[in-house]
This record gives sequence, structure tokens and C-alpha cells, in this order.
Amino acid sequence: MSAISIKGLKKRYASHPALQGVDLAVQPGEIYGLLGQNGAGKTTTIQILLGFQSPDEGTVSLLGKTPGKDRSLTKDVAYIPENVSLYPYLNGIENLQYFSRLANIHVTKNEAENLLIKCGLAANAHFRLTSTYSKGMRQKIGIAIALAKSAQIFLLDEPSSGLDPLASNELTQLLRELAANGKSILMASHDIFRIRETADKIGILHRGKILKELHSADVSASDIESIYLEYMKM
Amino acid sequence: MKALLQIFYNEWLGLYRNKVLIGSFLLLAFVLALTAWMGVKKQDQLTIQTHSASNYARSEWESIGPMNPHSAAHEGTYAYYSPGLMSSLDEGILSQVGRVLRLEGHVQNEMAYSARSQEAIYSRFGGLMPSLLLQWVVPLLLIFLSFRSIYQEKEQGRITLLLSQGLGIKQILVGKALAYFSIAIIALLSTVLIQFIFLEFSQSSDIARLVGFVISYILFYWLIVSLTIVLSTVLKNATGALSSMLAIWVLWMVLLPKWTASIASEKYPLPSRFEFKQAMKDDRSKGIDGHNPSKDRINKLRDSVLAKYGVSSDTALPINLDGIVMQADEEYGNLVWDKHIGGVFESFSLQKRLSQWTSILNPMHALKSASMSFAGTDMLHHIHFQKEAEEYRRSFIKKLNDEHAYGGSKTGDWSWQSTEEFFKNIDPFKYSTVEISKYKRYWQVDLLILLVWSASITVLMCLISKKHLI
Repeated sequence: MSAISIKGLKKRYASHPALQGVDLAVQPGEIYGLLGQNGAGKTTTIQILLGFQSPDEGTVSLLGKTPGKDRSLTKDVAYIPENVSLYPYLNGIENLQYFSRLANIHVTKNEAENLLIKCGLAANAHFRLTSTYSKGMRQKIGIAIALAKSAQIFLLDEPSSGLDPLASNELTQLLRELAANGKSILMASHDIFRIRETADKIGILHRGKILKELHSADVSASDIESIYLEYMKM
Repeated sequence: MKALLQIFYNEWLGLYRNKVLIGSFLLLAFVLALTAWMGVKKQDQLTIQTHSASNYARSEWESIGPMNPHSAAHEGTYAYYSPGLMSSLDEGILSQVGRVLRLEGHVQNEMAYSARSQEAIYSRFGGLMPSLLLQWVVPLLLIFLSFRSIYQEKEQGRITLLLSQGLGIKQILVGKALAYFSIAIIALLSTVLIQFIFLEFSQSSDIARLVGFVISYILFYWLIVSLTIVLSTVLKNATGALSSMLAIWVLWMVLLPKWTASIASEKYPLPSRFEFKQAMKDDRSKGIDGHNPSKDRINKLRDSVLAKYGVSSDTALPINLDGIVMQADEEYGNLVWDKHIGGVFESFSLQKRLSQWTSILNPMHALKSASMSFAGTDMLHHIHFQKEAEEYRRSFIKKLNDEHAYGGSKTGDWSWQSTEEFFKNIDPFKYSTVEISKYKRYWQVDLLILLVWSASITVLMCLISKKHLI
């Protein structure tokens, strides 16, 4: 059974069709990269997977459950938004502990420090207020929050946006490690290089439709770029 | 529930670590505590003054010596209004209406020595009472604290992270609302606690009033916080939420009360002081006057008294006809007073009913009305005192007139004097604040309106869907 399954997904905002029949599946231990330009429907797809929005048509299931209807899914699904916004009056550790507590997970200070180190956040930043953090540092806290959930499914919306090359590379390594541990990951991005480096399978999403699926092992980043640009002209 | 408490705690932490907010809150707490303490001191002072004045008036009365009863009726006595401990929280109409009523024969006086007439600062700036802060400052603080609460979660994109952690929308909204609400509760309870400790509330009636007072404010503060949270959620920006709340605030605090007062006085007008006095004078002049009695009425009364005693002249009467005539005049005057003041009280009552209807649109009015009612400082409590004092005046004057008539003097003998013992035996006026249950049909309506408003906004808050947040 696929960990993430989307069949014939359609969503319309007023007169604008955001999704026009998306089909995709992500297996356990697989990273699926949803590649598309702004407005292609990547965020809408993720929001439907999170249960924040309802589909107009089609079916969506995560671990065989329907998002938005089965509340037990929240512990199995971790989400990392494009821009991880934290509480500026809390430090890194406190933010991690707070968001974890909201998910009913108790993270001790030691565990929190280990998680942040695992996510590449330097120890000297752990107890600084997050109002002083860069976007990359906040992103790392976001990943740590997701890791603390020990979720089966990770949904990432433009996770490498705004990250420096080193941080992006660290993110890729981390996601690969998670996948190696059997986690299913769906990441939406318009960063062709990063998606090629990170994902096992890539779906090119354009105007609410997946036009092509590629196995990243079979193509180079420049191949993907050529294919992508070709489809964008359609 | 755990998540709700986490949100609550986190909001508090945010406030605590914001130096400006914590500074503002501490300043407000200090001002509230100071005001409450000043209220306590003022209440103590008033109690001492009232007791002192009351004792002085009584000692004057008791040392009146042998005197003609009618002269004593003109000496008169005083009724001092002591509205109870709760008046230190909300002085209501007390600063305008006065606390002292002179009781004498022939005439029903108006209350005098209001705070406004005694203290120049009052007439210019009004008094600084806890109710002023609790009704004006605390709600404004709540609006300023909470108007961005949900909007900033949306604007900064934290809301999706919060929801993805398994939180429900209701938990987020209610958790935040409870955090801001608790600030108001701390401000309210600390104010009330200072009064409670220093004023030694011991009677169950005072405690019942205090509980009602606190409940009114609790309902109103929840209403303000939840309404601000709802607007912060559904409006597109924080400025919209703030300006909408301030517009509602101005409507509730300034415009609607003015309109209500205008409509009420237009629909149920009250006579001016001059008109009232003139109408009383006109009506009374048609009847018997103790000093200048209408011949017809006197003759009729005189004939009946002579017939009763079987004599043919005033001098042959074993009693003093003047006392009987004066009591008859007093009773006629009472009828005139009842007629006119009854009309005034009726207008007050109708105005009150009308303004209670407008509370459906203006919960602030319901709060003010409930606050004054529980503090015992509204018009109804004032009228109750006036009625009690008037009742006492009537029995007081009747005793004097009866003494004049039947104490041993003869008709026309104005030099006759009653004993000092007789005057001492007339009980002084004693007044204790009316039980709050007497006016329950009024404050129950106020509380009901506040409850319906709070519940409605809470329901509205629970109906907010994800589409407003994402």
C-alpha cells in the first residue's frame, strides 16, 4: 500500500482551477519531488494532504486514512512549511519543545539539543531567541519539530527555498536518512537541482496536472531542466 | 485540554517577555490597586462622616429641650444615605444625587451635598473609581493586546504549523482568548480583593452583590476578548480588526448611550425642577394649608371635630384643633407628592426599561447597569432610600402633629411645649441598603443580555473554519 495516494484530485478556487486531476503515489521509504513553478498547485496539493482544504473531486489517502477526517493522522504526518515562522520570544529549544508539546510529545532539553544538532543547528544558537535566527536556522527548527513527531510521512513545501548551499545539502542528507529509515516524503519545490539531488521520483506539475513522472536516478539535473522547460512552454 | 493550556501558557510567556506589555500591565495593576485603595479610604471616610453627622443631628434633636411640636417639625431632622460597601467600586449616580435629605414638616426636600457640589475636582474631572478603570481601561487594554493575536499567526504562517501539530481551530482561538481573558480577570479580582479585605465584607448581602458584580464583568470581558479574537481571525488585516473593535467601542461607550438617553428622555420626559415644584405648589394650594388654610376645608374639618366632641367652639375642645388641621394638610400634601413623584418614578422606570431594551444592541449598557445595581448606586436604590426617608418623615411629622393635637394644649395655643422626653422617644431614621433580590428583575435582564452576547460570540468563534485561517 502506498503511504501517500492521490487519485484524480481536483480543486477549484472560484473560477480558477488549481488542480485538474492529480494522480501520484509515494511508497514507504520514498522521496517524491513535486516540481512546478509558482501557482502550479504544489501548495494546494500539500494543504489537501494536510486536511487544511477539502478536494472538490478525487481521493486522497495517507497510510490508508483520509486527511481532515481522521484526526489520528496528525501524529503520523509532519509538515515543514516554506517559511518556518517561530515564536520570536522563545529560543530554539523552547520553540521545539512548545510545538512538540502541542502534538502531545514531551521532548526533554537533552533530546531537543540532540535533535537540533542532528538538524545542523549549531549548539551556540540553541538558547538564542529565534527572533535573531536566519531563515535557514528557522528551517532547521522546523525540521527538528517534524523529526520530534517521529512521523511516518513528511510533507515539505519549498523546504530549500532561501537556504544557503550548505544548509540545502544538509537538508538533502537528512531527508535521505529519513527515507532510508522507511519514512515517506513528499517535497514540493521549484529548485530543479535540489529536487534531483533529494527525490527518488519527480513529478512535473503544471497548471494543476502532473505532466510527467521521472526517476531521478535515470536523469541528470540538466535533463530534468530541459524536460521541465519543454513542459512549461505547453 | 493539554494543548489549550499550552497555548494559554505560551501567550502568557509572550506577554511576560514583552517588556512594553508587561510594563503596561503592571502600570494598570498599580493604578487599579491605587484606585481600589483610594475607594476604600473614601468609603471609610464617608462612613465616619455619615456616622458623625448622623450622631450630631440626633444629639441636636435629643437636646432640643421642651418645645412646641410644630416648631420641632420645622426644626426637622436629617436622613443620611449610606449606600453600602459596594459603592466604593462603582459610585453610579451618587456623585450627582447627594447623600443628605432634610426631613421637616409641610415639605419634601431634595437630597443635597452631592460629591459634585462639594468637590470642585469632581465637577471638572469626575471621580476616579475602580468602575471607571474596569469599564474603560481594562477593555481597551484587552482590545490592544488581542487584536493581532490570530492575525499574526496567519500573517507569519505559524497557523499551518500549529494545525499540522494536531491542534484544532477552537483550541487555538479559545486558548488565546483565555490567556487575554485571564489578564482581565486578574485585574478585576485584585481590585475586588482589595475592597473585600479592607472593607471587611461580612454580610451575605454584600457578598452576594460582590459576586454579581464580578460575574457581570467576567461576562463582559469574555465578550470583548472573544469578539476581538473573532475579528482578528475573519478580517484580512490587523488594522481592520483594531479599527473595527474601536468603532464598536465608540458606538457602545459614547454614541449608543447618548442616543438612548435622548430617545428615553424624548419618549418618557421628566419635568424640570421648576415645573415639578410649580405643579406641586399649584396642587397643594388648592387644599388646606397649615398656616393659611382654605376656609372651606377648615370649616368642614372643624365642624366634624366639634361634632365629634359635642362642643360648639374651638376653645371648648379638649384637644388642639390646629394639630388636626396641620396633619390633614400634611396628608393632603402627601397625596400631592405621591401623585407627582409617582409620575417621576414611573418615568424613571420606563426610561430604565427602554434602556434595558437597548442593551440588546449595547452590552456595555447592560454592564454599567448591572455594575451600578450590584454596587447599590443606581437610580432604583436611590429611589428606595427616598421612599424610606419619606415614609419616616410622614410618621415623624404625624407624631409631632398628634402631640400638638392631643398632647394637652388647646386650640390657638402656640406657646405650649412638649417635654424633652417626648422628642427623645421619637426613633431616629435608620436605613440599611435594600436586599439585592428586590431588583432582581432588572439585574437578571442585564446579566442575561451579557450572557447571551458572550455565548453568541463564543458560538461564532467556534463556527470559524479553517478557510478563515489559511
